[in-house]
Amino acid sequence: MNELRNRFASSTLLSDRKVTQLMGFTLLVLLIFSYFSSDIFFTPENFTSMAFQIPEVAILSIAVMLSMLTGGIDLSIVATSNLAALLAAYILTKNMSEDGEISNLWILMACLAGILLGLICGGINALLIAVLNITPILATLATLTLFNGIAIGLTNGVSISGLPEQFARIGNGTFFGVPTPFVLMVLIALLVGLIINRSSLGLKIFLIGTNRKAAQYSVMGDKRVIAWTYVISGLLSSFAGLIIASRMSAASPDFGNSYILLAIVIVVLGGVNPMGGFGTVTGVVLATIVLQMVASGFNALRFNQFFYLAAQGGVLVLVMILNVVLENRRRSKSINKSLES
Amino acid sequence: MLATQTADYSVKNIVKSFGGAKALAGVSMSVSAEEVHCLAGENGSGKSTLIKIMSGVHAPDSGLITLAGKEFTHLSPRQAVNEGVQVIFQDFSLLPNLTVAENIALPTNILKSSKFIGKKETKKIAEEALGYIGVDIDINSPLLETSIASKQLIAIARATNLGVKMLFMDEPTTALTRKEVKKLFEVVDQLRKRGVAIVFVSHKIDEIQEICNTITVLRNGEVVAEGLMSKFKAKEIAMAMTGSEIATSRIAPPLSKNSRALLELEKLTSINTFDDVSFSISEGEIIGLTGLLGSGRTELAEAIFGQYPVDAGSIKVDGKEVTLNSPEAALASGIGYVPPDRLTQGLFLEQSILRNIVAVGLDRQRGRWGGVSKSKLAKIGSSWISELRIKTKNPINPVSSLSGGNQQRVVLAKWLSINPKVMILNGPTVGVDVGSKREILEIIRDRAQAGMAFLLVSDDIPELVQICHKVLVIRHGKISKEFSDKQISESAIYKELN
Ligand SMILES: Nc1ncnc2c1ncn2[C@@H]1O[C@H](COP(=O)(O)OP(=O)(O)OP(=O)(O)O)[C@@H](O)[C@H]1O
Ligand SMILES: [Mg+2]
Repeated sequence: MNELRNRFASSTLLSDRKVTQLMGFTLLVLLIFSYFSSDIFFTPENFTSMAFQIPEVAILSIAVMLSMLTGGIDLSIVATSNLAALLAAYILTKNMSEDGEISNLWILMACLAGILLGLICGGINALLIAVLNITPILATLATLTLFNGIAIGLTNGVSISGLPEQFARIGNGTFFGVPTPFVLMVLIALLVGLIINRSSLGLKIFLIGTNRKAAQYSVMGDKRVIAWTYVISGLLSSFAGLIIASRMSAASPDFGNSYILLAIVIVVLGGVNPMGGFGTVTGVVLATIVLQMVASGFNALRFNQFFYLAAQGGVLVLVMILNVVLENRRRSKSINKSLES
Repeated sequence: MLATQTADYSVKNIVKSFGGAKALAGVSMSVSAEEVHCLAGENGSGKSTLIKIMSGVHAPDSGLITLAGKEFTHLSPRQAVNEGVQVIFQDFSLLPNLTVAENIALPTNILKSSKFIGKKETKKIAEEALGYIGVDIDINSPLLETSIASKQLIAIARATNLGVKMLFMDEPTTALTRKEVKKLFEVVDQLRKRGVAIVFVSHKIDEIQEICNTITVLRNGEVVAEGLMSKFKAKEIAMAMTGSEIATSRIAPPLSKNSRALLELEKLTSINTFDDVSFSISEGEIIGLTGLLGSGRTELAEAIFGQYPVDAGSIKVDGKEVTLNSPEAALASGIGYVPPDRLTQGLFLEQSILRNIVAVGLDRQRGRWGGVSKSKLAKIGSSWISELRIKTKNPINPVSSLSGGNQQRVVLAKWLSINPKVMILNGPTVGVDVGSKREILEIIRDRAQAGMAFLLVSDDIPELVQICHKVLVIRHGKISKEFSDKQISESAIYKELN
C-alpha cells in the first residue's frame, strides 16, 4: 500500500507535473483551432499530415534533451542529420538502376552507413566535450560548422534528389494506418524513455546534470556518461536525417536549419531544465505536438508565416512565465503532499 | 529569566508546519542588543526554520514577530533587511565571480536602488566595512580564491554594511579550524559590543559556551530550556537537546593482534602539498588525521582517493600495490571517500533522498539488459534511511528538504552502502548534533569491528579522542606527531596543533 502511494507521489512530482500541464495545454490548442477552423484543421487529412511532420522534429528534440539533461547542449544535430542523409542518398543514387530500381540490401546498407556516420559525428562531439572538456555549446557550434562545411563542400551545396521509389516509400508509408515515421518516433521515444528511467546510465544522467562535482565524487564515470549522451544524440540525429530524406525523397546540406532553435524551444517547453537534471521524454513529445498543431492551425487560418514565428516565440515566453509563476507553489505543494502520505 | 520587556527582537508562539510535519510548535524566543544568543537543538529541531521565519524567508502559520519594537504576523525578506536583520547562511550566498570588494558593496547599492557605482566607491565601501570589523582581506582578489574562513568574514562585513542590528549565524564554524574560529569570535564579540543582537547556531558545545551569553534549546520544534549560558554545563545542554545523557567516553574497539594491513602509504609525496607521508591502517583500525586548514590533510585524503596528484611514493591496498590516479581506480581497489563539503561535493540537492543514497556503485545494481529495478533501489534506500535514522517522511523527497545533519547522514549512507575495505571520512560529522554524532561514531565503531579500515580526517578533537586508535597531526604537509592509544587526549592534541 505504502509503495503504491510512493509510486503515485513520485509520478506526480515536479517534472511529471509539467507533463500534466502540457497535456492540458495540448488539448486547449486542439480545441481552439478546431473551433476556429473545423473545416481545414479538424480533418483526418490535416492530422495525417501533422503525423508525418512531427516525428523528425520530435526525434531531434529528444536528441537535444539528452545532452541538456546532463547540463550540456548539442547544436550539431541538424548538421549531423543532413550529413547522414546525404551519405545515404549518395549510396542510394549510386547503386540504383536507370529506372530507379534498387535492391533492399543496398537500402539497408545506405541506412546503416548513414547511422554509422551519425555515430561518428556524435563520437566527435563526445571526444571534444567529455575528453577534452570543451564547453558543449562551443564544441557543438564548432562541429555544426564543420559538419555543415563538409556537407556543402562535398555536394557543392546542391541537394541530392530523386532517391529510389522503394526508399521514399518508407517515409511516406503507413503502418496499420499510422504514418511509418510516427511509429518510428514512438518506438524511439519508448526506448529513450526506458534508458533514462530504467537504466543506470539514465539515473547517472540525471545526477550528473544536477551536480557534476558530486557525481565525480560519487565515482559514476561522469565523462563516459556524458560521452554516451552525445553519441546517442548523433545516432538519433542520423535517424531523423534518414526519415527526412525518405519523406522528401531528397537530401540537402542546408535542410532544416531552423530545426536547431525549434528543437531547443521544444525541449524547454517540454519541461526539461536547461541547467540539467530534470525532464521527461513524454514532455518533449507533447511539446512537439503542441508546436506542430499551432503551426498547422495558423496555416489553416491562413495566417502569415511570420506571424506564426512570432506566435511560436509567444508560446515559449508564455510557458516560461507560467513555469516560473507556478514553480514555487508547485514545488512546495508537491513536497507537502508527499510529506503527508 | 530573560528580561522580555527590554528584548529588542523576539518571536512569540511561532507555529510552522511543512505539510503534515510540524517544524515549529509554538516557539517563543527573545534576543536583546549586546547579547550573543545561542540557538541549540538536535538536527531537524527547527533552528534554521526559526531563523528563516525571522528573516522573512518563510511565513509562519501563526505567531507574532517583533523586530525593533515593530510587530509583524509575517514579513518579507526586504522588510526584515530594513529592520536590520541579516543572516549568514551556511553557503553565504556570496557571488563567486565577483571580487571581495564587489561582494561587500554591491548588495548595499541594490538595497538603496542606486544604479551606478564606481570602482573607487566600491572599494571604499568594502575597505570601511572590513575595517569596521577589524579584519584584513585583499579586497581585489576574486571571491573564488578566498578561503572559507575569509568568506565567513566577508559575509559579516557585507552584513554590517547593510546596517545589521540583528545577526543570525547558522552554523558559521563548521568548516573552520580552531584558529579561524578564534578570529571569528573576536569579530562577533566586537559586533556585540557595538550593540548588535546576535543569534549563534552551532553543534559544538565548547564553542557555544565560549561565545554565547544566553541560550534557547529546541527539541522537536518546542523550547525545552532557556536562560543564561552560565547556568548551563556542557552535559546539561546536551541533555536538554537530546533528552538523554550523551556519553563521551572512548569507544575505539579493541584491535586484534594479527590483523592484516589494508592501507599502506609509503613515503607518499605531492610536491608543495605533502611530503614523505608513511602510515598504515589495518583491518578494523580507525586512524585520525587532523591539522590546520592548508596543512595538506584534505589533499592527502584526496590523493588516496585518486583525486589529487601524487609525485612519489607508493600505496598498497590489502597488500597489493596500486596506482590510484582516478577515483574509479580507488573505488575499484576498495577505497571509499566522504568529501568534506556536502552541499557541493556530497549531494545532489534537488534529487530525491533515494537517488542520493544509491548514487555510488549504481552499476552493481544492474540487472539483465543493464536495467536497474526501481523497487530494488527503493529497498536499499529505505534500509539505509532506517539504519542511519534519517529523519524524513518520504524517501522520494528532495534531499534539500532535510535538515543539515540529516543531509550529512545521506552522504554517509551513500558510501557505507558500498561497503569499501578502506573508508576515508573527511569531516563526517560536520553539522551533526551531539546525539547523532555519537551515533555516527558508533556506526563507525561497528563497521570497524566488522573489519573496515578508517581514516578519519576531522577538526573535531573530542570526536577523534572518542573513536580513534591513533591520531596523526599533519603540519605543513608532514606528519608532525603521532598519538596512539593512551597518549590520545584533547589537551595533548590541541597543544600540538597550536
Ligand atoms: N522546505 C522544507 N520542506 C519540507 N520540510 C522542511 C523544509 N525545511 C525544513 N523542513 C523540515 O523541518 C524540520 C526542521 O528543519 P530545520 O532545517 O529547521 O532543522 P535544524 O534545527 O536547522 O537542523 P540542523 O541542525 O540539522 O540544521 C525538519 O524536519 C525538516 O525536514
Ligand atoms: Mg539547520
